[in-house]
Amino acid sequence: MHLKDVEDRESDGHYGRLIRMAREVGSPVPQIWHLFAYKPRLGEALSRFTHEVMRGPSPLSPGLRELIAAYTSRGNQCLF
Amino acid sequence: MVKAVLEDVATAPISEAEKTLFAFVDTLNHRAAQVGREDIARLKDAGWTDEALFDTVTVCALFNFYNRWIDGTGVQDMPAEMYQRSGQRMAATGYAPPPPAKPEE
Repeated sequence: MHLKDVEDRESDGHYGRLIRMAREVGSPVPQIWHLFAYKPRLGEALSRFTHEVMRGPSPLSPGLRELIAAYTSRGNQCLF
Repeated sequence: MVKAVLEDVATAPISEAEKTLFAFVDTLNHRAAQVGREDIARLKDAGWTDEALFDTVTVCALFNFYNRWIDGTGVQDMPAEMYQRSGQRMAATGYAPPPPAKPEE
């Protein structure tokens, strides 16, 4: 990751706790957790928003929404 | 099926309406300023409602946000087994912050 401060900041939010727990048991930390943890208010709002977009009520099934998401990322040559 | 769509929507085993929807996602993703009323009319003719199209645009826009967020900060790809684990977690709890639990589950 390019942003060292973002990766290193200790955060007391939900994702900061997840990162600490993962480290305690020696499991690898997905780097995206650092983006969610860096500004906990932002990360947690984004996480709820994402859940609503992807799993909330919609005429599109969650599976079709996932496929649209994967197709979008593929179109942008992004692995995520 | 997912692989087929990602590789070539035209030959993937999905409905014509879904093919029309994925063609729209392509336009939105790469030439968003060119989306016009006629694109929407074609999608409505294929049976998609305003709500379905709103949700499609929202998912595509959100993942463009994530793509830039990831690429701009330099987040690295994960090993395959981590995808599997996070896939299982997402299937169980979705995207909302999961309750603090043993991460080794």
